[in-house]
Amino acid sequence: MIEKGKISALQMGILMYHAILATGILFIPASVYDAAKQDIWLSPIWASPVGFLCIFIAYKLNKLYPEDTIIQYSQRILGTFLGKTLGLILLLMLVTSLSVMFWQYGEFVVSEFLPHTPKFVIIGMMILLCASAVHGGLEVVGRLAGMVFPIFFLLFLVIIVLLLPDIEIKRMLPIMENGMMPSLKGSLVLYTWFAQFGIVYFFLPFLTNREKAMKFGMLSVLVVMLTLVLTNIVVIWIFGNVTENFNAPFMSASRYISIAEFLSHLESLVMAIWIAGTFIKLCAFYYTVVLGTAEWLNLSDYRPLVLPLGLVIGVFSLKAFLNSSEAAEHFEIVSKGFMDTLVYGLAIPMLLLLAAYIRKLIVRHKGESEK
Amino acid sequence: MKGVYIGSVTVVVVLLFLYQWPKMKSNDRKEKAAFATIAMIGWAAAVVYIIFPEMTSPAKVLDFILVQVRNFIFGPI
Amino acid sequence: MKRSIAICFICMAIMLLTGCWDRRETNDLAIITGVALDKTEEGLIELTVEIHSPGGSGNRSEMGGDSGGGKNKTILQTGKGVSLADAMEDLDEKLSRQMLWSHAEAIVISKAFAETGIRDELDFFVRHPEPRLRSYIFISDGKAKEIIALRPSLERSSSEVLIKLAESEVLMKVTLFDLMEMLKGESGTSVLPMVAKSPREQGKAVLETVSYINRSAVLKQGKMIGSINDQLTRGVLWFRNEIKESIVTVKPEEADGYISMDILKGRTVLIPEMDGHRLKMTVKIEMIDDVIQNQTDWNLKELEKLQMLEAALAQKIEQRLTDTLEIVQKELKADIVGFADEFRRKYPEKWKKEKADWEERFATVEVTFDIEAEVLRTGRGSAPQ
Repeated sequence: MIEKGKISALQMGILMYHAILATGILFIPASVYDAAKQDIWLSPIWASPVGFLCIFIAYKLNKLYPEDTIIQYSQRILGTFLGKTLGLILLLMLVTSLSVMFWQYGEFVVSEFLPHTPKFVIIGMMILLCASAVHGGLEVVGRLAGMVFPIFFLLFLVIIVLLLPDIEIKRMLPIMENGMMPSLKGSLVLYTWFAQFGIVYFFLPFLTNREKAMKFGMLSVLVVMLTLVLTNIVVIWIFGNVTENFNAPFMSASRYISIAEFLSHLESLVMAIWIAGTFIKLCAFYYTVVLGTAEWLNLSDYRPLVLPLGLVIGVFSLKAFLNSSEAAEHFEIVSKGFMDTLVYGLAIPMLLLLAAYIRKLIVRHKGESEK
Repeated sequence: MKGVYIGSVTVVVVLLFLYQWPKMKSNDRKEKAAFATIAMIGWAAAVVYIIFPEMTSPAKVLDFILVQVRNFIFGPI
Repeated sequence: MKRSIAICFICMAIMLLTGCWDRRETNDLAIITGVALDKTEEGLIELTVEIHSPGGSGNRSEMGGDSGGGKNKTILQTGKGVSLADAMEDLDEKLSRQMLWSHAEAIVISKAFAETGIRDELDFFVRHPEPRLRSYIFISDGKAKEIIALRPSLERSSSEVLIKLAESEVLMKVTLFDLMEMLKGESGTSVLPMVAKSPREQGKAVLETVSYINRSAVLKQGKMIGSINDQLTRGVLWFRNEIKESIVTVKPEEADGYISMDILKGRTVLIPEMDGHRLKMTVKIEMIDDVIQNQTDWNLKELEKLQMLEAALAQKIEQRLTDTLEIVQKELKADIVGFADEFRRKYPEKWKKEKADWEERFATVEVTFDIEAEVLRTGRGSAPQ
């Protein structure tokens, strides 16, 4: 095994919480609103089964091959050639996905806060920062997540509490005006986020208490769902039908806070927690890419790959989308619920699990006929 | 201007080599090869983007492929 | 070797970490405190901004009068263009400093502008990351620029006067966010406070007067169609459950004078009902009042008199609301009282059919009132005999 470090199941759960939520907390309300209108708070509930399923499949696969990550057991299940091909597809998707995440991060910082700063500086600094964390290994990333989580959660709750004076519960009525369909359609967008739980297949072999992996994984999905429901419900209580005017409603809501005239302009607080969370998210995905590539190439150490892969990802993320309409096109595809994350998070592991069971059946069959 | 950009990307790649190369043990030939290959891919991609800034990106290619696959499986939406 | 590379990296980090691309120092900024929007005769948009001038002593404004200017530390600047952004560009050329919009808390729109529609230009304020959603919006009777050019003697600037006026909540208080919500609402109507200049006192400079809110503008689909006076505005506020402060003076039957009461708390609940094709709305109001003046010789400690007073108060409010409804429903045909949203919330399915011709249907809503007035404190004594 290349990775020598170990993390606890709890740390894994927290890592996954950030890996899913960091970008979601800002962008999800707006993109879900297009379809679900005032029912956006229902959509995370409909979408969460995808997350539970992803964790379940990854856990089952890990049960069969406890010491391996997906790159390794795909070769054991499908044979070297097919397994390698699948691994390559997986890695390419992860690199692409990561480059889009970095692009999103850069785009948001540039458009909301630092309009005159060149994007390559913002993305470049983040890549360097993530690279240093990933260089430290899974243990470092896991501990960082554990460190960031309490601050993230506390500040999130503070923002919610400060928003309370402005809420108007009426704005979420009527619930399910057009039946279930709008909120179900809205949940298609969320599949993208929940399917990202699939990447636990890179972390499961390195747990100290593997028997708790399932428990904490499920808990993580649950907390992500609850956080999203809370975010969406607060956004709809504050903004109602105006939600669609904002790119990042939660950000705009924090801007809207004004208590006793002096406690206002709190968007920098949200930005701070958002960047901290995004950093963990990017680290998690960066780490999977680096580890996956090293395992795919059968290297003895993944550290030399950190910087060059960062360069590749950086280049691709700067050019991921040339303008906002290209990005809109991308997110339009996302909103139809068919996304790369769904492929690498859910479809591929599902396929592998199926193949593994079939293989087992054949082996057993052979064993019986030999007797 | 493009020359300057290419120059700076090259400097970055050279720095990567200077930083990482001495850290790798001399018998890790595989690691060295992997490192060099990926770094060169990154450099090449950057140079190509500098020369052809309008070129498509992996994100867009993947989107295109996924839409094709989706249309193949579920029919066009 | 290793050290030199490390130094190289540090140098690079220093170069990259300066973080000064987006620096904005206070003395490079023109802090905008108020905005006025006018339409010129050629149809161009005229954007006037009130800029806080940080200079200490007696800055003279380009339009300001000379007397009493010492306190007023604001200057005005105007830009013109085909759109708001275009006008801003023009304004930018005339200003030595970079504009900071995040303190623009009063936005005045002229009547002429509002009549041609404000929806498109509001887009600018929403899209721009700086202006705040809590900025107050006003419609001016005359030119908006004239409102913002006033030199009030009590407050530091005219935009501050406007902000205070809105915050007192005597009449309408509408923020940018409220306006957006109204524009997107089911009925598509909105109501905004109207400001006018108070008449100039003798012997004072032309600009040395204040603006005040006296009417409310009614907009349909973002276009102003009319206005209502202060009495009717209070009626509308009752319907919208936004009443905060109001003094009601009644003359109960059999009494020989007037009794004035201050509203401590008023709460309105709209209960819609759809009965076949008929639309009904019950307006349920609960209010608590204090007596602040008693011209009559009534002793309000008598329970009987108190009940009569309460009845008179309820009747007075009902009368006012009926008058309001008369104008709003029959004349303006604008649902600024928020019936549409109530119907939608209670009857989402049936509402879809009603929505199409709501303007006509709104006029047919039968309204019944259920007003409960309670006089909490009557004070001691009555008018001296």
